[in-house]
Amino acid sequence: MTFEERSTWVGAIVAVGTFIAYATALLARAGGADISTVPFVDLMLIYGIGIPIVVTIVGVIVVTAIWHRDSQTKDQRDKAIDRHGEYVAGILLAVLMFVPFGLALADADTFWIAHAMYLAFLTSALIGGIVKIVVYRRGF
Amino acid sequence: MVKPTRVTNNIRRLRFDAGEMTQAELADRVAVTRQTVMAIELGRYSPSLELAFQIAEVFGVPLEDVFQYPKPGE
Repeated sequence: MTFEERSTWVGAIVAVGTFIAYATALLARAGGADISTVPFVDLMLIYGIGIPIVVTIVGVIVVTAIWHRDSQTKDQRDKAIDRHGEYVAGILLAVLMFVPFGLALADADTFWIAHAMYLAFLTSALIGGIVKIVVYRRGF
Repeated sequence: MVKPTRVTNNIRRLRFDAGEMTQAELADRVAVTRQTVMAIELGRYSPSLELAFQIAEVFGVPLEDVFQYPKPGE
């Protein structure tokens, strides 16, 4: 497994893990009340942006340390697979962004617009990562 | 879905003929990862034309001795 593939795994695992942590924290704060009335901005900034960035950096450092003998260069195959994954993720993000766009046009609550955007970013990043992993495994 | 390449190759035999050169040695010579050499050997990745020429150059043979492509109808 190349350094790039391992980094892709780290990104995918962190994306899923932080989403579960965010959902758990949000539901705990709601405590059974209407979830759309729960203050979410701080949780989203922490679990949706802050923690994923930090944990991904730490994860890549750990992976690099464990497999320090392997090459950490990005060759032409890594770049091609990365482009392919980002292309799929980009298309998916463009399509999914119609949801918050529609919600905004319908004058929906900020809570739902923000979460539709968050899920669009998360889903596109995750699917892009999965596409890269599949291509690494099955061929390109 | 990703479609594996139809390009076939003789890299494994050429490595054997070249004093049992390892995938890692070949990868170093052409500046790619060992996994990329392995993917090319297994037909999971079609290399760029430049990389294909570099691999042929390492073994000192023409490009068509390293890579083959099926003729129409095959």
